[in-house]
Amino acid sequence: MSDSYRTQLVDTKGTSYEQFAIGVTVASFVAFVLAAGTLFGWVPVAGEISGVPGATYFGVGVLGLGVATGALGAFSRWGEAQTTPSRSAGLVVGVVHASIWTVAVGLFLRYTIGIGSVSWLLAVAVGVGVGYFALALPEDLGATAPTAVFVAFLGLLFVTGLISPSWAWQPNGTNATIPGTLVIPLLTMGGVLMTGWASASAYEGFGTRGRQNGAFVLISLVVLLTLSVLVFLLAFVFERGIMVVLENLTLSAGTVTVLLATALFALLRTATVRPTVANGTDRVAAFVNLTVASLLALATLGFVLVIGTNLSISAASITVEPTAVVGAVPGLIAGGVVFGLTRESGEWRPESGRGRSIRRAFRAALLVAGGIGVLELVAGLELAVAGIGAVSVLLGGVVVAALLVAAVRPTDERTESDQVIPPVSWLGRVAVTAFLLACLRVFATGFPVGLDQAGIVASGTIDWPFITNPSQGLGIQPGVMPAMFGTIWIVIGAVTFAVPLAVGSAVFLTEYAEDSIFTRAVDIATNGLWSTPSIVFGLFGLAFIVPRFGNTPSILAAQLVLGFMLLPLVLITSREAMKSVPDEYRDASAALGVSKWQTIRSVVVPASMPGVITGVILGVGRIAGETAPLLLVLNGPAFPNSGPKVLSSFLVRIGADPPFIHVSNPALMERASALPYQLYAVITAGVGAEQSFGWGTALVLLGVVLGFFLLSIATRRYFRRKLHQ
Amino acid sequence: MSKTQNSVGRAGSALQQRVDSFGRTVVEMDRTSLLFAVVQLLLILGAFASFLIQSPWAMTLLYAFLLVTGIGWARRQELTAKLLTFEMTALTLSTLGLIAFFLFLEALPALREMGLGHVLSPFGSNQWSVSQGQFSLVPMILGTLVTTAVAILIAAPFGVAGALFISEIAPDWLREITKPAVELLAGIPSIVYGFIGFTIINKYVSNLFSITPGGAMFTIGIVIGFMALPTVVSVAEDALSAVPDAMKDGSVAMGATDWQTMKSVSIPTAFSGVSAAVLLGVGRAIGETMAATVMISHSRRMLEPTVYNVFDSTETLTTLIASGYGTAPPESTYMSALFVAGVLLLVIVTGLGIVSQLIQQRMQRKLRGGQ
Amino acid sequence: MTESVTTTTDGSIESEQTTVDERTSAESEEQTKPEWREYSFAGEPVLSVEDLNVWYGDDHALKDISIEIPEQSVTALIGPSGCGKSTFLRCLNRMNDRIKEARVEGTVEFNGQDIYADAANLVELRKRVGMVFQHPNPFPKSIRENVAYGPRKHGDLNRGLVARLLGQDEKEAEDELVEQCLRDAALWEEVSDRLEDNALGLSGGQQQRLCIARCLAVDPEVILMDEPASALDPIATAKIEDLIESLAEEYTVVIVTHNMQQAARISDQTAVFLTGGELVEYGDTDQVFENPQSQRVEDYITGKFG
Repeated sequence: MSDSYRTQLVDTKGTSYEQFAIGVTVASFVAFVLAAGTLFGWVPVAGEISGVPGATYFGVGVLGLGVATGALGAFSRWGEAQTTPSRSAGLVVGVVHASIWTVAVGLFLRYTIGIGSVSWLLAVAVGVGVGYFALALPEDLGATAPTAVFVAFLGLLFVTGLISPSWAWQPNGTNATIPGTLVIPLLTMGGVLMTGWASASAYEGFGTRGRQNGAFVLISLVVLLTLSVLVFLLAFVFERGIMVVLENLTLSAGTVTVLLATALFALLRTATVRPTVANGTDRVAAFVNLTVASLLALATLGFVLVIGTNLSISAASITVEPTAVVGAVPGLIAGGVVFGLTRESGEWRPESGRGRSIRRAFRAALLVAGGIGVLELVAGLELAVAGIGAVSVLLGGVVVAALLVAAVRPTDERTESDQVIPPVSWLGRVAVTAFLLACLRVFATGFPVGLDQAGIVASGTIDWPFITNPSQGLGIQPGVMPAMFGTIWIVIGAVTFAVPLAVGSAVFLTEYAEDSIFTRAVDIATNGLWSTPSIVFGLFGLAFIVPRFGNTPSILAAQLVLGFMLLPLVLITSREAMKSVPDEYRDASAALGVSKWQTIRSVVVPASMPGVITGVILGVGRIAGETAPLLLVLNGPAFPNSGPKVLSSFLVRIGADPPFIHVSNPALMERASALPYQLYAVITAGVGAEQSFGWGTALVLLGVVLGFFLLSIATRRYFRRKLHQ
Repeated sequence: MSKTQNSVGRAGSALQQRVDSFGRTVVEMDRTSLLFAVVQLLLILGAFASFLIQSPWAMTLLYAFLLVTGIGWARRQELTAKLLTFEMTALTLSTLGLIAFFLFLEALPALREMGLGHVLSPFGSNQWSVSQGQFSLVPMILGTLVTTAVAILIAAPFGVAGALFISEIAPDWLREITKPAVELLAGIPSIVYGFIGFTIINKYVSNLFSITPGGAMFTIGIVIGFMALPTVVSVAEDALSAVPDAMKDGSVAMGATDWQTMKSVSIPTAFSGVSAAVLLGVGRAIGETMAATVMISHSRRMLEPTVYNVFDSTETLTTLIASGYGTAPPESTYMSALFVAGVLLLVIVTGLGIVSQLIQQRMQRKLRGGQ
Repeated sequence: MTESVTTTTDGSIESEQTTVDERTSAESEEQTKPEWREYSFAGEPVLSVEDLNVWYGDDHALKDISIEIPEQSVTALIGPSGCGKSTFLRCLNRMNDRIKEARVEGTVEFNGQDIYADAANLVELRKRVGMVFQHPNPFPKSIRENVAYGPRKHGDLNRGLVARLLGQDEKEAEDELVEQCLRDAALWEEVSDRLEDNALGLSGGQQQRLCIARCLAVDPEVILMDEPASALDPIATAKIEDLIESLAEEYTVVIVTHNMQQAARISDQTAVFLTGGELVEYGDTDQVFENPQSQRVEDYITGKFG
């Protein structure tokens, strides 16, 4: 038993050996980033820095890292370092070293020295030898020595100029020339990955924990590298596209302020912004929320200042007018959001008679304002012109005044019996209702409410040409409006077609069907459909759907084809959601004598709704970006100058020929464009000058798809939180 | 031998039971319900059939079906709901069959004219030439093979590393960020990748390697690999998370490191699931269309000077369809040959998807049984 | 003053006193601490725990636990479910680290070394403090591989392709070790002819004994057992109990159980945890069961609650 005391239970940390090892790891990481930077052109490799070729720096660095790695192994074996190496570095290390050495020595002999076919025989011999040594030596030597020698050798190649930026290699059987400017960074990256791994392993004193550390460092590095490439792509599209999308955007400061304030309110109402109380992920989220909230608050304040100082901002073709007018549509959206968020709060049940009469007065005023709005709509626009609608604004003013009074009054004076002044939340709700009514009126009648400088207007507060204009051919006016409407109609059609089918099937499969050949067949079919390539769906549309609907590519065909693609996704998620409804619910319902279908309708489907909705949103995000089937079944003009007018072209006719009732919609039967399809059109149009249009379209498309994705995450979180309350 | 007989016998008796229970249900129904059910089923079947043969009566039958269903909903909701959901399930099930049938139907003329051997055998002329009426798919199959091989060299190791990272290595807060980030990346439309590839990567690569511009196969493979990566990560991660914590705890409690636990317990236990993820990734890579379509040269010939020259550019099965549909006249052998490519894709990719699903199910059953 | 508190046995009286006695907060705090008879034993403790507190999120699962566990004996931890005894057990080899949101404060010393120190070597700790779980959790590998898992991972047994390539294969040593551990775990007779079979094919009791054998193969000093017999039938339970008693000759065993008869049968000393994560009584098993100091413990043992 005394044997096991050899290893201390508590390590001594911070020895100079460990510091040296971690230094090598960090240096390897830096070298890796620098080498990756040369691929992007951020770090020069071909040029000279203070008279020395860039490649030489890489050579010296790599050589140094190799020597340092060798030193780590040597100190562990023969020095004072307290390490716990295993007997062998392990099979994987041996095999990796054997193959690296075989390839490296082979290529070196073949192409640099120039020996003929013998070189590969020689290389294999060297590789096997190195592999054997890596296995047979104790771990601290087996893991470091081959790495050190190999990396130092690489460094020597660069320093001596045997591989220089102007060096080039033409592999046999290809037509490409691989230049030194690529080989040097790639070899550097590979080499420093090895030194990073070896030094990370040495940091933990080799042995099992050392191998864990080495492996984790390697995996984490690779994963972060991959993720950063993908994030870089997103950022790149954003950077290229944002100015195109925002070109000639004009906003009124009033609208912006209202929208920002609403966002701030929504954030404060729904999310945690106190990083102190939460832990783990919630803490990260809380920090992010806090930052966003502060930024929103600052921006809101900024725009209020813009209105106050009457300074118009204009930067890079974006203009903010310093007017306090609010658009009716943004106003409706903002008011609706606030209204929805304050649904639970805002009840006021005053005890005293005066309080009740005040409440009654407010309600009556709201009713009057709403009634006048309706009257204006029915009686025509003369009344509206007369400005009766200003009543709602007046009402709003009264409410704001009452709010101010309530806010000034100290809280402790408001006792249970003395509820003459309504609570702020209730007043706020009345104010929002009044605001909504006013917006609704402006939206419906088109006549503004309020003054020229501050009020609600029907339109003109947001002018966003890229989103709201059609593109009139290349080179004139970029705009994605028709494509946007195309995408919207296709998604609507696909959802209407696929979601009922998928949910119905999910109900049958989870509730009615017993496990049988039939359900297994459906399982296989859905999984098959899920993995079927989108272009195959396109071919299917071409062969099956197009001939049956007017024999021409059309919006309807695209709707059906994308619906078929949506079907398996929604079916799989709906089934999962319904399976996860506990059987106790069903039993409880059945025990009360409720029939099976009633149970499904009132228990199973509502309980699984969160999962179904999340699945639908996720699926919609997928199909909204789908392009390949659209090539075959939508195939419209590249840059149409108007969107499909689906709503206004429904026709119903009763005739004597089958099917007797003819429902048709010519707009649905026409070819059209869609966002991803338009991006494809930009590429195939091949006019270099219009690439900016492509970046803009790509950004809008990404925005739509990622928006759906974020929406699905938000829904999931919302339902989860609701469930835990 | 006796085992198979047994299982056949069991399946037979199960079928017998089901038929019996179905018979009992039918007998026990009252006459009106029975009438409703039969009429409803007949109407929907009729509507479906006349839709298939493009008869104008399809809509009429559908209206009649809706009418009967409406009445049934008001009078016999229980029965109607069950029937309706059953019909929906049957329709969903029929989709895959319809796809397979119609693709094959359209592919038949080309197969009949050229012969399966000419279209698929690599020992023929391997030539795709519309003017000479030669439609060999071999160059496209080669293209698909090469891009898929490159893609999977990226997607498999990085994908499995990513899955390990998310399920075992990353601290909680990082996992909560990376997991949705990976799902999000899976949702980026392929045409966006294609656009970046077309405008940036193609030029960069042709400059770097001094080759003619126009989508070297290995560039396309790398782009496709990155696109298939999120699929591999999330499916492999699911498989790794399915390994019971108790098993991992058992290993760690003996003083094994997390890395040893991963290597000796998690990965071997989840091996089938992880390989299913890679299979699915292969399927994604084969089926990927748009990114390749806008990057590739569409030259439809074998790679030169050698068939493994990844710096050359040709055509893949998917890009052939996407680029050929516009120029192919309807009803021509050319068009039909595109459908042959479609059938190939369907068989390979859908097959891979199904196989990978079966593997995952088997693994889950085994883990459940093992506990 | 302290004398009067020590004789207080019932929790409710104790709290009453606290409200009466409000002169200084320090004193009242002292009073609310659970008290038990001083338990002393010869020699150094293997494990000594001082002021251990554990939280799961906001849930305070263990409160101010202080206890010393003697060498080569069986210590039983009993108490109603949810009282934190399993949590306490998992603190002794830091398996709680693997549970999200778990937070541990206080010191746990193993042979005089603080295992919650920043630089603690968890691999070494878990090698010396082994654990057997409530549900048998063999690996989906052969029986032999299950037993040899620990030694192979720690490099004590050189097996596999590399070893064979280098001619250092230690198959005989492994055979010997596997047989020895399976014999110690009373499983050898049942599985000696099918060592290469998958361990998942064994019965529940066999799987649990395999897990014990697997644990013995690492040669720990302390074995922690978390209700090892709760998922087993009476025959398998009896076998496991016999096994635990024989293990105490060589190892220190700490066992969690909710079966009081089992605790009385097999343990040398018993610690009683009660709801709320408090350690209420600790002493010789006979004394705890026959003459408990605390009224609550007596109620629990006589079956009035719990």
